[in-house]
Amino acid sequence: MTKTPANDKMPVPGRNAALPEGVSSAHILVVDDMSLMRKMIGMCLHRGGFANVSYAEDGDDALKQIASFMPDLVILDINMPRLSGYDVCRQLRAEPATANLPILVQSASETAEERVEVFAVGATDFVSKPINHPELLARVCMHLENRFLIRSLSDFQDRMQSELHMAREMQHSLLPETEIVDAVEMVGGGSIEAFYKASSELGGDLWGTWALSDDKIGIYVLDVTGHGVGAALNTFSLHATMARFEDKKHDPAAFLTSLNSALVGTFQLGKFATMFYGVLDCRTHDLTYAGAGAPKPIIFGDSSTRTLDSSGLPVAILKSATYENLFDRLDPGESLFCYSDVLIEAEQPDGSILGEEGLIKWIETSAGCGDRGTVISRLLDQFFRTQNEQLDDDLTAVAIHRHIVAGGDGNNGPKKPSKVVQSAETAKGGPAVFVISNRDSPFEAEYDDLAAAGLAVKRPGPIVHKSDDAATDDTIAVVLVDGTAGFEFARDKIAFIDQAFRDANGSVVVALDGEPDEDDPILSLESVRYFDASKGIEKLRRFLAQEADDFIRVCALRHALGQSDLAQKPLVDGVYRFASRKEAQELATVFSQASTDPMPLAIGLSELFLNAIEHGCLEIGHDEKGQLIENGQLGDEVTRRTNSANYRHRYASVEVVRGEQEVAFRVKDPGPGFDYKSYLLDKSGHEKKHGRGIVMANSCFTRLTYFGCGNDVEAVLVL
Amino acid sequence: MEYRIVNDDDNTTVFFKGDITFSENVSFRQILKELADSTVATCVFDLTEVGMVDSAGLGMFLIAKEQADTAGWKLNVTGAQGHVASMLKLTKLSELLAG
Repeated sequence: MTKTPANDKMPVPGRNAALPEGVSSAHILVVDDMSLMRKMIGMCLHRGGFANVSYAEDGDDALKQIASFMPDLVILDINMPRLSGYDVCRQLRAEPATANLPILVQSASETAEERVEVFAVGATDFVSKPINHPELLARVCMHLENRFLIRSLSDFQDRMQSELHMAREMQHSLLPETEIVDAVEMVGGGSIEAFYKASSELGGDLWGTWALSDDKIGIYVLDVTGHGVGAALNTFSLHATMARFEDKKHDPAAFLTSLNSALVGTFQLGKFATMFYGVLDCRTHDLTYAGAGAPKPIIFGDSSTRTLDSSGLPVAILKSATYENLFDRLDPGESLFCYSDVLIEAEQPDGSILGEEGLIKWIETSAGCGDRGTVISRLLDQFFRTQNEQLDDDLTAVAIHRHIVAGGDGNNGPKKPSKVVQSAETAKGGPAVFVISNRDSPFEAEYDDLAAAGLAVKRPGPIVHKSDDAATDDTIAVVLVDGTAGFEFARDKIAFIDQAFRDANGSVVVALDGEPDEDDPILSLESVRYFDASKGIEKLRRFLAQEADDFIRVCALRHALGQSDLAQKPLVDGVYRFASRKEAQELATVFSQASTDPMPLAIGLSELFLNAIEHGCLEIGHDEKGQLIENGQLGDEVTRRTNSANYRHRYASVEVVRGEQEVAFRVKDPGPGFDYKSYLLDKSGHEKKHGRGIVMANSCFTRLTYFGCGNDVEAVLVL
Repeated sequence: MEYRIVNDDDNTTVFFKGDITFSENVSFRQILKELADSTVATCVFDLTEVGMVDSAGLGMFLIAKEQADTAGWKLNVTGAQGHVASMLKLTKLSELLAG
């Protein structure tokens, strides 16, 4: 490479200003087999202000040099030995790296065909020999400027694209992370199905969810006016502002009100965000929500579909806007679906829009033809069949599908009983205690107290006149046979009603002074409970109340089992959570379907589950429970503790494992446990006020094994 | 979207027809410009023949409202039907844009 020093400057035609830096320092390769021509062109370039010039003697040399160091422009002679200018052009254009390299061809021949040929092989421009220096400079200058302009535009485009791409990634990072969704799904006892698609690189939609303390979850969807960069920046701003109001996240209305007042004035005129925010209490299933003009969320389940009133002034319009909390429920087995407006506003093939009513129909159809956990996916499949993939607006679709049983394994879980099991504390009418007594009973004065404790007392007088068919009257829970004379009188009648009472799970309480006569066949009947009357009236009352409580619960279970839709529901292995007596009863009912004789299994499970709730989660002591039942306060106390800060987060769990010949239930609760050994070994369990449940449960299972301190028990039933 | 502006003394009515969506941004600004250039005491946006409005469309109404408040004329949005009416109700903008 030789460099010819510039002697004097030659102006580039049409330019007064100096060449831009990038242009004047451009690297130019001059290719000519004639040394004189190379020199002449080089000198011309130098005088025009170009200092970075190289030379090649022929085509081969040119290609070699270009391969080792890419020039910004090539001035190429056509007629050269070995490799002609045409061939050089063709080869350069065939290579992607040099496909756009400016090639200025200079040639002495000037036929029209030749000029066409020059462009046909890919030359950028043409100058004819003898070379007109100012023209050469003007053309070189123009092509270099084009090249730099295109390069900077394409650099700019690359940079914008990579920045947009980064922005999109940032925006996607605003969407809830998998761990958060997992946490919400766990707390919420359900699954979340979410779909998000921006109409352009960036969008104005956003959704999010979070687990709040005390078994609550929050979920929001929002839609900022418009889409693209402007809308995306507003969603960033909104998202960041939300973080400032952590303390309001429990209260949807307060949350929206705070967001609004913080954002008014920060969005451009005419821009705002429609929003919905709801908080679900997963324990009570209460849904508290507030709307700021988002499309109405839809709650759907097996039986009904309804919309939530999400009306409200969108966020960031009016400083004085306030929002109010509304209330609904989202029960296990139901789904909450939130979506952005494009879903109901996008044009259908017939030119109409789907609208809210159309969407509800679609949901119902979609829900009816498959798993509830994938309803939205099927719905969107249907939606996209009617749309171009490229929508006019961002699309967000989010659903929370609550599982039938909190914490259960998803969509294949057991079916919720269609009718709520009537639990003991809500039983109406109260069971009767049927008293058989022919002595001047010390209990006489206590009958009113028994009644006050929720037990309707039938007082048949000294002679029983109804005992033969007592068991057929299912309001009679307990027959109290009080005193030796009454017992002697009732002996044959007790034997007669034993089977019926046992089937009805009622009991005959025989209250006599002293220890029972172990040889008395009547006392060993299954329905008979013996009570030592010398323990006094207080204890007898508690004993009776406990018997009555058991009776009511079994009646409720029986009722639930009688519900036709429970039949043949599959039992699915998994860990199920329960946190209330109601859930415990429901679970016991559902799981009892594992056995061909469901009633004993339902009773046994119900005992274990209720123990886990009452003694484990709520830490109600055994004596304490007896006292509460007797006073008719068990229900109130359970409610009070369930709602108190100390107990409301607690739950028990049961793991179900089904083998070929047996099914195992492992029940765990967070309580302190108890001395189970004494109850399991104690044959007189039925007489005790506590530990009776264990004895009952024990008789319902093939094996009952306690672990640790007694808050962990495995019950196995061989099928 | 098509529109027709009818002037009656100081009262102006803009009759809209079609959908008012994001893509009508330019025509809408043209309407606002025309309103700004004329003397208006009250202006009615008649939406009787509008089939659909999206959130960007609602935003345009808000811009018009802002312009009215600034310039001292009254804006009244009337005649909303079907989807448009329910959008205005859902976002409670019907209250803000009425009279």
